[in-house]
Parts: sequence; C-alpha cells; structure tokens
Amino acid sequence: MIVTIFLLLILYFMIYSSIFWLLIMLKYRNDIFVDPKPIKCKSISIVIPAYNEENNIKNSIDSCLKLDYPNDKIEIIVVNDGSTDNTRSVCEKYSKKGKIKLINKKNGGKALALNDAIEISKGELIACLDADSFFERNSIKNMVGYFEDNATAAVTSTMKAAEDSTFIQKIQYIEYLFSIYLRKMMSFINVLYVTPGPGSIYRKSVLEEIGGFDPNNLVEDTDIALKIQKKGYKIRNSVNSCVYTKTPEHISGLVKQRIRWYGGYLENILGKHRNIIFNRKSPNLGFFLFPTNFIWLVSMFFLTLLFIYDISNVVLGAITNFIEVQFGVIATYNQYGFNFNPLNFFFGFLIIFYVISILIIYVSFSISRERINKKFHVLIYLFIYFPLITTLWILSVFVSIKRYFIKSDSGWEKQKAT
Amino acid sequence: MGKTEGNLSVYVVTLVLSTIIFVAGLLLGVYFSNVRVDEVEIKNMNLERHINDIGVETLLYNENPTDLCEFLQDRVLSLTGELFVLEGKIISIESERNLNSENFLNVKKDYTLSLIKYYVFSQNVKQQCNNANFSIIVYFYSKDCDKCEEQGYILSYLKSVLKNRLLIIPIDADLDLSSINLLKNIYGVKKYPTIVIDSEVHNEFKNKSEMLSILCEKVYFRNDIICS
Repeated sequence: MIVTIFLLLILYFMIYSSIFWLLIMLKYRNDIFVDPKPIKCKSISIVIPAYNEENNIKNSIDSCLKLDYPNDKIEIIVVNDGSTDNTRSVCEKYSKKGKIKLINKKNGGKALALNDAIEISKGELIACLDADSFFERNSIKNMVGYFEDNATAAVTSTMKAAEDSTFIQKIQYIEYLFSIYLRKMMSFINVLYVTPGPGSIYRKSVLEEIGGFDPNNLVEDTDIALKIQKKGYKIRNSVNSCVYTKTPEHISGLVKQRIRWYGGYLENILGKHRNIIFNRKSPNLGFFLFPTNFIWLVSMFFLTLLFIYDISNVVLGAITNFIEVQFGVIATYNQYGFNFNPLNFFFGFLIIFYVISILIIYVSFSISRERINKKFHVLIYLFIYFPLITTLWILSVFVSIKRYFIKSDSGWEKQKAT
Repeated sequence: MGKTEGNLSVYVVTLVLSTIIFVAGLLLGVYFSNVRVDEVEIKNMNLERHINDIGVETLLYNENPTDLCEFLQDRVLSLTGELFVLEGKIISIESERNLNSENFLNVKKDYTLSLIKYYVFSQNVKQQCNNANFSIIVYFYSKDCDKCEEQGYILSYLKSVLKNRLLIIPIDADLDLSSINLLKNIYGVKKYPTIVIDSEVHNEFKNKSEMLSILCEKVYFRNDIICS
C-alpha cells in the first residue's frame, strides 16, 4: 500500500516535470529558433586543450578555420598539455603557417591548460572546444549576438553526437537530442548549470572575474557555470549552433565518462556549490531545478529497484516451481499466465506517459532538426535508457563516496577528456 | 527575447494541468480495477448458482435413494473448469498493486464461501457413493507461512495431471469469516500450510513425492502414469 502511494507521488512528479518544460516551450515558442544578431562582430579566441589527440585535433582545428566569421576577429589557441603522441607535430603544421597559436606545456590537466590559454588570449570572448569535437560553419556567428546583453556571461551550443555506429552510441545520440530540447528550455528560465566543454563561449572579463577554471574539480564546466550563475549573470543557448562531439563507443568508456560527470555533479552540488540550493538569488535554479533533479534521481532509483524486485519475484517463483515440481511449470503458467491483464490500476498512467513521451520525442527531434527515420533507436532508447542511467548514477554515488573518504588525485592523464 | 524571470505563472499552470492529468489517470485506473473486480463478482454469482444447483440435486438424492451416484459425481466434477478460470482471475488481481482492496476482499469472501459449500456437497456425494473416483483436498494457506508458495505449485501440478479427479479447495485462512474459523476448528488447523486430503488432516508441508505417495494409495489413482 505504501509502495503504491509512493509510486503515485513519483508519477505525479514526473507528469509535473514533463508538462512544465512543454509549457515553457509553448510560452517561448517564437524564440526557439531565433538568435539575436550581433551589432558588430566581437573578437573571439577559440581555445582547444589537447592531450594525446593526434587523430582528432586536425578535425577540430579545421572546423575552426572554416568558420563563417571575419578572420581578423578570430584567434585559435591550441594548448598541447604534455601529449606523448604526435599531437604536437600535427599542431605545428598549423602554427608554422601562423594559423594557430600553439602552447606546449607539461601535463597539468584541462583546467590549467584553459587558464594558460586565456591568459595569452586577445579576444573579448573565449570559445572552448574539446580536441575531439568540431564546430559547424555557422556556429560562432549565431552565438555571438547574445553577448550584446551585458548580463550574459556565457552561451552554450547545440551538442550532437558525431557518430552513432555502435549500439551504445545510438543510445547516446538520442540522449543528446533530448538534451538539446531540455537545454534550450532551461535557457529560457536561466537555469543552465553546465557550459559544456565542447562549444561554449564565455565573456573573457567574467572568466577573469571568477578566477578561471578550477583544476581541482572533476567537472570544470559545471563548476564554472555555477560560479557564473551565482554572480547573477545569464547563460544562454543557441539551437542554430551545432558542435559535434565524440561519444564513447563501448559501455566501458561510457561508464568511465558518466562516473566522472555524475560524480563531479554530486561533488559540486553537495560540496562547493551547496549554497545554490534554496538560494533566493536564483530561485528557478535553487527552488526548482536542483530539487527536481534530486527527486528525479530518487524516483529513478525507486522505480528501478521496484522493477528488479518484481522481476526477481517472477523469476524466483519460476525457479521454486521448477525445483518442487520438476516438470510441472507449464501447468502453473496455464493457470496464472493467461490471466495477465494490462487493463489494471496503472493503465491510465501508461497511456499518459506514452502520450507525453511521444510529444517529447517529437519536440526533441524538431528542435534539433532531425528526421524521425531513426525510429528504431528511439524505441530501444526508451526501454534501456532509464535503467542504464540509473545504474550509472548508482555507480557514481558509490565512487563519489569512496573518493570522499580516500582523497585520491585524478590527473587528466588518468581519464581521457570526455 | 523572452523574460528569464517572472515565470511563476508557468509553475502554477503546470500545477493545475498536471493535477488534472494525474486525476484523470487515477480515475481511469480505478475504473479498470473496478471493471475487473466486477467481472469476478459476476463469475462468482454464476458459480454460486451452479453450486446451488448441485446442492439441490444432492438433497434430492438423499430423499430418493435411486442410483444417481454416477450422475451426481459428474455434476460435482463439471465445475472444475469454471473454478479454474475464476481462481486464476482472483490470483492475478491479488498479485497486482492497486488501491481498492475493500471491494475485492468482499468478492474473495463470497468466492470462498461458495467453495466451502461446494466442499460440503462434494464430500456428501463421495461419502454416499461407494465407487466415487475423485479426491478432495482442502488447502489452508496464509500470508504468514514459509512453504505455502511451494505447496501451491505442487498442488497446481497435481491438479494439471489428475485434472478433474482431484478437487482442490484453497482457503485463505486470513479472511475474516466465521465459517472459515469453524473449519479451522474442525480440522485443528494451527499452522500453515495444512492440507486435508479426503478428511485426513496433514499439518505440514508435503512435497511432490509425499503427496504422490498419499494419493497413489487411492484405488482410482493406482493405475495412473504418475503413480507407477
């Protein structure tokens, strides 16, 4: 009985959360695809930190060179963070022709690399690009216009997965499409709390004001976004600026990546940036977004546990049956199996979530300008995604707890930048 | 560009809309739950009528002792199909999560009462007829019972093999019915599972081979495949 009530509360919350973002979209529907035009093009420094990216760095740099933006307003700075492969020689091909500035330094992590580049940068804006990601031609010009508003400190781009060859990549591809929708909605009420490594643009003066990137943070892009929010600035988003990023091909890579992301999120929210929760200065963030994130997490845990519990009951029952009766399992199925009836107490909610899911999928695909001929992935995604992500979150919680008690050092070389 | 603050109205509209949707889903769920319980209730009433029909026939037999034995035995055993279906539906409703247990509990009580009546009539026929070829098992179970699940599987298996020559009367000992308490007194039921096979009381869990050794002693089962 208590379980049923708890389940109903969770269902109510999930309905509320989904409807809220759909209504935000309704309210701001005329602003989704429109980015403000810059009065004049601001100067921008693109910073690419690289560690052992000999295969990918060429694509990144080339995409910057091909940007549709006045050449004299762009400067490209690549930081070779002590790579042990041929990254340096690949970059020197460009630096020798004067197309990029190259900083070679001893390995010190992504945050320090970025800070070094910012120090020598000349642009009014700083754009960060990961060495395994690349810009679309018109990305930068669509994002720059937001900086006309002095309250804007950062603009995030539309991040898409560069490949969807493996099964794990196909799931991530859909996940990124959904994030595109969610991020744009979050930008309308200024609750973006991550400025993703690949493809975010910052106002240089603000970066200097908040002291640059924190080398001791697992997720420096979350940390910097939260620092920006706490200062009262705005973080915006453009759906017309695509950045393509590499995604882990196999489950092992995904696990490593997510443990870093989710663990970093937890460490920031529960530690350094704890005071943003219930903070009156940013009510949307403090009273809505982070509390609802937390409730989503608890709900997913609960639903997954419930699901495992139900399934194991069925499996245990079948095993017990087999043990007691050896070959009589069929008899029991005849008695109980035929009576499964989907028209039960939760059927109404099943319909509701089916409809809401279709709406969200349709909206996500529309905003990210994708065609729904990838139907098959979506169905698999719906079934696999939540249990998968919940498992990764549970792992991350354990790893975070372990890290908290055994303060280990995590240099960038131990985890490939993802 | 839209405002970034001052979205209180969206929160409020979402609250209203979500509540409406949620209540709609809840009502739909309650409706479907009730439909299933009502279906069981109707099947119950039909079962009750069929049992009464047999009951009247057994009374007529006692008044007029002509040899109606074979006929009555057939009549008693003819209900097994209907019982099988009804029991399955009740079990599937019980195993699901929902909110309106009160209604269902009453339906289950009606069903159990019909079963007890059926038990009395079938026992009557078996006692009066010398060459009865079926066995009756009353199976007392409870929530608070270690081996009830296993016992249930074994009884289902025996039922599927011996088909309508084995009548199984499952009694949920947790139901609050006076006749159930009386039955428990009559058979001295103190712990669960308790199995009463043709009025012989067995106070503990019986596994497959133990059950077979008891049943295979009966004349009418001796030549069955499972008894060889």
